[in-house]
Amino acid sequence: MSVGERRGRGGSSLGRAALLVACCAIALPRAVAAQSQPAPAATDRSAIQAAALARDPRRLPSAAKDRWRGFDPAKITKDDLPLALIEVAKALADGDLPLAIAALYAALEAQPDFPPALHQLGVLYFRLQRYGDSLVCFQRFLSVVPERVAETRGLAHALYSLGRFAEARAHYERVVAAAPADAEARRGLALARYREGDAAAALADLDAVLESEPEHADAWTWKAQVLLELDRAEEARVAAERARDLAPWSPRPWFVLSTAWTDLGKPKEAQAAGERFQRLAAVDQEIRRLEARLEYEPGDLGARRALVESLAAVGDRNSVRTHLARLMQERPGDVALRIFALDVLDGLGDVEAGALAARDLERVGAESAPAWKRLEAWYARLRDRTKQIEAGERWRRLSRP
Amino acid sequence: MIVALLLLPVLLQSPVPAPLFTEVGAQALSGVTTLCGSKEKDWILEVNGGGLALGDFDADGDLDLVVVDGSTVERVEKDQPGNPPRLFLNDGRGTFAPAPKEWAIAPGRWGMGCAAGDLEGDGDLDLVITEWGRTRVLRNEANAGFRETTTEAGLAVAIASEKEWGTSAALFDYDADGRLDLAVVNYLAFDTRTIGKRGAAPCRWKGHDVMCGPEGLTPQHDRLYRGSGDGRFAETTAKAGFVPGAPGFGLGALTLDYDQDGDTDLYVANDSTPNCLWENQGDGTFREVGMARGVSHDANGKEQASMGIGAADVNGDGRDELFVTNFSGESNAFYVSKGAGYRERSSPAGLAGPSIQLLGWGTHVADFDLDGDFDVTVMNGHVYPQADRAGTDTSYAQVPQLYRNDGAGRFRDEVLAATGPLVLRASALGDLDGDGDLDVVALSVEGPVRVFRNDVARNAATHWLRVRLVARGANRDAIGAQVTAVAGSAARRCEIRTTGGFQSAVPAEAHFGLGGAPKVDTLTVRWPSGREQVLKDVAVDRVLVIQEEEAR
Repeated sequence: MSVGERRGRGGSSLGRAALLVACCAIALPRAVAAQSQPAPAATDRSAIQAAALARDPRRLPSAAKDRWRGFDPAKITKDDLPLALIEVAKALADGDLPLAIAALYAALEAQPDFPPALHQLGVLYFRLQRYGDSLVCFQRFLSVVPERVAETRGLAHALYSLGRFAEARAHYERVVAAAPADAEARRGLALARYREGDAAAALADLDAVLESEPEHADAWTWKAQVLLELDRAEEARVAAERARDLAPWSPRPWFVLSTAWTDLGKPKEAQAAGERFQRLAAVDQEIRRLEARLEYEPGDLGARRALVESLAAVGDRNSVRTHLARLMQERPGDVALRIFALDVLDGLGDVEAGALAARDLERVGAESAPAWKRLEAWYARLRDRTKQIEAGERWRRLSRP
Repeated sequence: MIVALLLLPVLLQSPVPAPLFTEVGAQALSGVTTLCGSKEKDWILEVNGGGLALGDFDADGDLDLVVVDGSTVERVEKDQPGNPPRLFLNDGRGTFAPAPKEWAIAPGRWGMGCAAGDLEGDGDLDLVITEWGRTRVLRNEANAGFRETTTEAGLAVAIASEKEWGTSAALFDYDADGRLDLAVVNYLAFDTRTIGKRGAAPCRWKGHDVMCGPEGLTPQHDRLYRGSGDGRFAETTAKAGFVPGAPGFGLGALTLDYDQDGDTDLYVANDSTPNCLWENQGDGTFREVGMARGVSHDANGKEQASMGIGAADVNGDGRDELFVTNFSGESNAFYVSKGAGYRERSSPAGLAGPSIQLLGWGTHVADFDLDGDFDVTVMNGHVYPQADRAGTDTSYAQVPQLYRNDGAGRFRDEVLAATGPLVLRASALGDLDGDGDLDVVALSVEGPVRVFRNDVARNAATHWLRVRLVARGANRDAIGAQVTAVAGSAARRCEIRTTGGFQSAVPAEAHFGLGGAPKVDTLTVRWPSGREQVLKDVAVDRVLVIQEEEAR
């Protein structure tokens, strides 16, 4: 029961930790003079990842009292900045959460309680669904920089995900008071209030979120659900349909819509929405399973490929693009993988991304007959006769014994 | 003076109430343990534990206990049997002793759950045992011992070659012919030759190597058998439409007339797949309506890993609520009746938050504190011993819970007993010591069987009534009957069922906590035959046995 955050299936906005990004942007260039270590070999990497996941944030060393009070990322000095943050940034760019955690521990051992590192560690543990560890990190962050409560919605998210709804609500209230424009904190507050049984207050919070972010599909879904709780089925239907239109691949709006139709006494419409929900939910379960696996094992190419296929099955183009890009990055010379990418994008009708994939396939598969055979079919579909003929000629030439 | 001032904050705190239950297994069921594979749980077969049945098998007026035991993968691989199911007889005061050899049951492959009911209408309580292997029938020979009749019953033929994995079973009269029928809930196709062992297969949970499944494994269809009233069964799974569009990993089963239309429906809890509500069409067939009635998923439309089921008319609207236990990271579900269906309301009821870090199994919805409303018990324990490792937000051993109803629709989480964390699975409830309150027996995944004695303090506000029914015809225990007690302005309704907990059978009786009501003004029985029988000014604090009257 994670509160989650709006995701493009590639990582929550919470995951793009503003504090660390800001800190690195300002100070890292000054520290990069010291070259980072080369990337560890695969076996070393597995060991580092495993060791990182066995760590306990409660055992991190502490800084002297008030060491970081009044911390301002803009005023950070080179001396303050642990070099390990470079490795963190690299691991995050690679989507390797366990390796990023390993580097964050190194950073926090070099510079105890360095606030951006504590914050980032909390974020990463949250993404790994290790909510207890996430909570520890955010609590520690808040204890060393109590004035930065506005950046601690992750603390409330962790409490919520652990089922501690009253504490979550109280902390969301603090965050919203400190950062009234934080829509994700406001949404979390709505959910916590809903869990506590205060549907009317939850609805007011969700309306506030939607006022600032009218295309927040998840907030529309929650609004529909809360309206159902308040026996306002017609309004719930409208909200659920809005959510459905914004996130057509997501099963949940269809689930809520089905319930709304039931409450409105329209069993046929309810059944139709329910059937659509069931089709999407079956794939969504697999997507969630694979996403969770990849957070822990980002190098599992088989899982990522399976994830791409599941995402394509529900038509989630953006997420397909994200994970295909990651696959290409992992296997820069893999022709078969590029043919797979083109197949998937072609199947989705994603011409824009398909064109990029085709160019990549031309480059990587320059001497591969199957690559050009696939490209011939791609250009035929685009009715680009010139390129179709060229690709066909290349294929035939490369196919000769 | 200073000491007194220092202590003041402590003294002003409200005292923590003592747990309602005391664990007395060491005295009540001395030395009884069960087995379920390896400690590290390398295979999914090793995690569910066995089953329990509470019923009066020797007809001496108290509740006896059947413990269904398991095995190990090593024994299976050597083609050796598992531990046999065992009957323990109650001395009437809640202390159990092994039954004489006449009651001995041959060991099977790997015992799982059980159901109890009078299959032949001869007045004694027979037994159905589910196994990873086959479903078995044990006939009670005039309250003097068991005799295995699996082959005669027609069950051996149906599934002997398939190695089905039966979990829960339900006895009920789905076709209203006055004879008990049988539903067997199946989990998944298990074979050590095709499923990877923990550590050798890439099966991980929160970064830790764990046993594989159920995801990625093949579910098995549940089965339905029509009873002939003489101990024999004929499979009617397909004929009755008891085949879902998408098969689930079945674990729990509960009979109930959810729509109060006079026939008995069946709710099935599935692991990692949507739960099923089989609506009895009244013509010998079923229709799966879980999604349409709002009991297939959680409030967010997410399938859950469901195990145990409890039910009772908690809000007093005449239809049972459903309580379902789930995996850690998910909340337990509380499906509250609304219109023709249900709405999942565990959060506003206070039942969601305290369950998220726990993994629930056996559960019961009953009035444990006799104050006139329904409470909930949950036996907890993780499936992964690896839950004790870093970053899981949970643990292998977990505290059993009592959720006390505040009378206004919210529940307060309390520890069930001062046992500390345990690794529990199946549970069954009944008044073991005849004092009118409901006790609970729970199975550890391996290790001692736990007996939780209810020690609710007695006063003028803890009246109770237990009602046993004797129906005409072969369904003598009147499974499916509805009993409604009206005392003052409060009406409480109970359905007679023997399903409950998880992989367990409970006594076929209605139990009412009546609070301060010194009598029941009206007690109405709606028998499975459709007849209605009304008793006036019923005395309380006793066990009342009602015979079905002849049609007038």
